[in-house]
Amino acid sequence: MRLHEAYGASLIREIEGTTGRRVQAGSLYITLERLERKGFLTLRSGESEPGRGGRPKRFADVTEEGVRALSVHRRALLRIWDGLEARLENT
Amino acid sequence: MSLYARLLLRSMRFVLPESVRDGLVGDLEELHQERKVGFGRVAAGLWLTSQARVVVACYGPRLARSFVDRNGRWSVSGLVGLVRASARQLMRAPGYTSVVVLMMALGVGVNVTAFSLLDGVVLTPMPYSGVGADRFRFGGQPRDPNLGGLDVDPELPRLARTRGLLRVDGNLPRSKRFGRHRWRPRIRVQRLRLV
Repeated sequence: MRLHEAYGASLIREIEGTTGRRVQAGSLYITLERLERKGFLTLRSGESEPGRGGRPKRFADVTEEGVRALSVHRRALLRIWDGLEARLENT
Repeated sequence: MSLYARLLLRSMRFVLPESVRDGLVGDLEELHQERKVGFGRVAAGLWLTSQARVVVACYGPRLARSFVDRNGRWSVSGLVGLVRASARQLMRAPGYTSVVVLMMALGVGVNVTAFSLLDGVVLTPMPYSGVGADRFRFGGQPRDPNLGGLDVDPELPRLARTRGLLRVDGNLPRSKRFGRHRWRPRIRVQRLRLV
């Protein structure tokens, strides 16, 4: 999924397809708003669309600060997994 | 889109803040349409109900907090704003408003009727066991023949069971018929006969 085209429904589809778990739209929007407050995302409205009852999409764009935070978070996660990889490979 | 889904989505608009309202409701409508095609109308309706529940759980407390000031008291300006915003939304959608008002009126009417009947027929005990409200036994003596009234012992139910001698055919006023404590012993008797 291209990040600049991410909006609520497409994010839900992507997460459900990847993880196999049901995503609640309310929870997703709460999270998006929180990330926006922290400066990791900007939310913008698109054009009105008839397939959505004339309601516009709400696109989420990741900011530079968001990408940096993601990178830091990824490194931390990889460090955590580092010690577990050998153990998990044997199972 | 079904009436149920439309009502649910419209109702969600009242809970959601303006910043996410159109985006979130539009996403739900889009995904609901997809699910209706893929899984059927019922499954899509259930999915939408579950989504609506979470939306209310997520955004309901925030809506309530916006009407409370820093000291935890209700903010009048917030409440006025809520009323005005609700009125505006309702005026924009007269059809939806009519359906909601009609459903609420029907719901309230049916409930009041059903529980009034239940209360009158089942829950409130008759003053006297085993006989009708206007036909019972008693153990007192007639004292006011002109009026046809009787001074009856307040312990009428117990006396009626233990030493009932007479039967009164008469009508108790409705207010005195129900409720053990509101009953007054002086009653208007139409007919009195030995049993």
